Amino acid sequence: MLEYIVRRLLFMIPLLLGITLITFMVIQLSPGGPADMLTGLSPKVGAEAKARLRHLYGLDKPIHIQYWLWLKRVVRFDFGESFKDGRRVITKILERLPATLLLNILSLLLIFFIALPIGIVSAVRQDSFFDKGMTLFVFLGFSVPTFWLALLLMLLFGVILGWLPISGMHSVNFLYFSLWGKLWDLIQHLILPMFISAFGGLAYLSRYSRASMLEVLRQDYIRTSRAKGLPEKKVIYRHALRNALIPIVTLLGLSLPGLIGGGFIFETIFAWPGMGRLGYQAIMSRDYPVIMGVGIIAAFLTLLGNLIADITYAFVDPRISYRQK
Amino acid sequence: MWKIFWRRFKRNRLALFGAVIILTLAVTAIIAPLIAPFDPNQQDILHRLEPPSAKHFLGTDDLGRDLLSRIIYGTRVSLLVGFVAVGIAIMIGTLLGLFSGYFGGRLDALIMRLVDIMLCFPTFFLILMVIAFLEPNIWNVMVVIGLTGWPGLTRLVRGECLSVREREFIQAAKALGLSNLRIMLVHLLPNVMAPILVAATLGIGGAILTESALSFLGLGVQPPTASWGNILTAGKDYITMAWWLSLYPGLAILITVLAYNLLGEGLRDVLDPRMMAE
Amino acid sequence: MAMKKLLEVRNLSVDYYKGEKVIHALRDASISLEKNEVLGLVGESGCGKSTLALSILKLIPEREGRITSGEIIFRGENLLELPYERLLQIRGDRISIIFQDPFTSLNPVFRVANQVAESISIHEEENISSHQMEKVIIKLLEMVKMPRPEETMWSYPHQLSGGMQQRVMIAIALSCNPEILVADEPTTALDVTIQKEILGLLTELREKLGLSILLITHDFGIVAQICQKISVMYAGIIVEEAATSEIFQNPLHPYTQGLLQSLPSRNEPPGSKGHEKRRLKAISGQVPDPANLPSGCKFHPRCPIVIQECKAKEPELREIVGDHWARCIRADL
Repeated sequence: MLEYIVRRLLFMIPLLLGITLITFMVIQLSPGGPADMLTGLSPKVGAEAKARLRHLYGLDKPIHIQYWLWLKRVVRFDFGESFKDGRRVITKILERLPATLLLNILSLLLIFFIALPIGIVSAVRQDSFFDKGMTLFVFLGFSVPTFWLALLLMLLFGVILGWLPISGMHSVNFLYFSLWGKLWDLIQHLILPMFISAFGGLAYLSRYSRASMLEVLRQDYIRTSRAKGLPEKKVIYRHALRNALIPIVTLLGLSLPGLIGGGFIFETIFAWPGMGRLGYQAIMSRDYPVIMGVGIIAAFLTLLGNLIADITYAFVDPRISYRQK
Repeated sequence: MWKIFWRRFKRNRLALFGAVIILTLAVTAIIAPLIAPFDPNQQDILHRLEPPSAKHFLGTDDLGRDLLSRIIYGTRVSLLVGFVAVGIAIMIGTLLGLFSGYFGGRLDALIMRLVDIMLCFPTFFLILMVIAFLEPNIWNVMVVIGLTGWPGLTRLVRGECLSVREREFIQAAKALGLSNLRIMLVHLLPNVMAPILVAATLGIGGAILTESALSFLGLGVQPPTASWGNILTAGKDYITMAWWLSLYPGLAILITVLAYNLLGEGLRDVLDPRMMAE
Repeated sequence: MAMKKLLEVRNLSVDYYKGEKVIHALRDASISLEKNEVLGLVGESGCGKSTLALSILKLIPEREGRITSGEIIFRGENLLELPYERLLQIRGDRISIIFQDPFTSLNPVFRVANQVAESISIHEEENISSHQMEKVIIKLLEMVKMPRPEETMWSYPHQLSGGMQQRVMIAIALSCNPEILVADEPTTALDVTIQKEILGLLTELREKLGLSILLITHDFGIVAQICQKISVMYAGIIVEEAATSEIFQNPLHPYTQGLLQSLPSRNEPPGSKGHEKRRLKAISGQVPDPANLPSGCKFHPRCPIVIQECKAKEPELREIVGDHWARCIRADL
């Protein structure tokens, strides 16, 4: 089992290298060149000053040396300083990361606890009203632009009904709330973003769990369990579910990058102070160091999600981990 | 063989429904100047932010432009982006997938590694990043969406190739001494077409969603050109005052993408090789 | 002839639904199994024999097929009309079934011991301690000649060979000492050498436990080895039924004759009908499409002795000689 994890980790290394390579190449391509990227100087600066800077930052060295130097910095999470306010990029990211993670993890939980039962029941009661209704719902879910849904919900709950706040993570007078007050305030602010974040994933996962469950229900061992005299409920919840869950839980790990990606949109809409919003603002203001930093961190988190998915898979499927024997 | 597909297609209600809607949209896009009641770019500040009325069926936006006309013209943008972006993705993806699946070995490993790396980046962010470095306009958007879409397709095509590669007629073609390129294009490709077609259709829907999201964020199609996404930007800004700006463009997106999804799913059933046994 | 009929399938008809097509998998099929008997149900793929086996315990999913008529009498009760709870009591406890592919028939995520224990605990009234259960499982596995039961019981199915997997299936099936074992092509997925072992095991268990076995197969060689009685099925209905030696020596239905003639076996009983040592004869034509059956006798398109009457009406099953039945108007001798 440990062997398996180690192998997966080793497998990740070339991917990481590839990510850094691609990001490095993108930097090279940016208008104004790497000098501008690293220093944030406008092109109006004189040629001599630029030449000095190039030398200072080793930009006159051959490209693979540059890559190596840059790679060394990245490994230490040193992405330079933001153009906007000169603070270290990594600091800015770390400030925002908890908010993003909070939202994403809660969304994942929401997805799991709603989509999974929907999918399972759809499969068990195939072609029933429920199943067909859910299929319709899922189709709509795939087709709706999430940011539009966000707008509509903001309109409904925030403006028309006034029940929920529509921006930020805390209210203005947050600090004056009691502990419970703070918690409630947080929850209120979480509801809409969480729902929007989870929405796309809901549709996908319920479809996927339905498919997985259907696949399992067709298997011979389900027939065997019935032949033993097991009541249908137990057949489903003990035998079928256990097998159907295997691909589903791995999917959860793989859903993480999707959530992070979507975060750029809805974090912006809801003014949620997370990494996604930071990235978006950086893009709008062409704050390249921050953009790079967020990009790499995001890619890294994706890899992490994949790794978690793989490990979970090995955990729940005895056929995998025991293959080493 | 295509006749069978056509017959089944006609019987499949999902696919038909989707196809009808898409055709309607395509026609709308083409004859837009003929059916739009107003010039979509014509501003009328005196009548800005007016709710739906007899004159302006869907209301006006923040610059007094007729919403209905803008939405009609927006159809052009969406369909264009959808087709071009997916077209690019298909060309690259199919080519790489064919090479990868057919030749195998180190080429395959290399391409798959590249695919894995590309898939590590959250797609949307990648697109945002690249657009940030370039200028946001419709052409860049199309190209970038296409360039981020090919990895998934490559994997798909490769998978199909792997299963078809071992079949006898491929071996026969090789034995006859046909060139690899010819085998790939003439013999291999038609057999992997089905899932590509399905993926392409679903992909158009996805591309439209992405483009509208980009335009919404201000990084896609720029005003004054009307894109459903960038109309929604105004919708957000004026959310408390003009609900129609938020509702209608989004509905347009929803219906369009839904149509593509229905068509895609319908095609999937129609082209499913397992059903060939009927 | 007061042999007690343990299980009687009477006029069973089963339809499958595939899309819009209705497939008559079983039409008025009848067999009977007596106590301590091994009955072989023989036929080619698609003739409906597995359907019959599954119907006994009502294991055909409702979405796929439905039993349209008939009765299955077991101990005076009609299994098809039993309430669900009663059916659950019979499954695995009084009547058990084992399937063709043991690998896919075992749940891949549970250990062997758990799967065997499950069938015991379903039907056992009192609680059994885990220590006791372990001992019971080991005994069961010993009974089915499982090598090193104390170790293998903790394996996962994929870690075992095909033969071992099938032994596990048998252990599960016999764990509650049922009266009837339905074996649906139990050796088809196994190597020939393992086949012999499993068949030998089944014979031995039958003697030891007083078991009755319904053996479903397409292989005449197997039925010759261990069955006392044979029912031959074609297109969803029984076309011939007799004791094993009778069938081999004196096959009455043209289909049975054709099947026996096409066997490449060198050990056919001497004096059997149409026994030709050197030539392999295949039955001309193809198994009929169950959705599109021919008129009259379903075998008539392929029958070497077909006459006009055969196309008109499907024959009844007649007792030609003592306890030897055939569904053919020209069967005699």
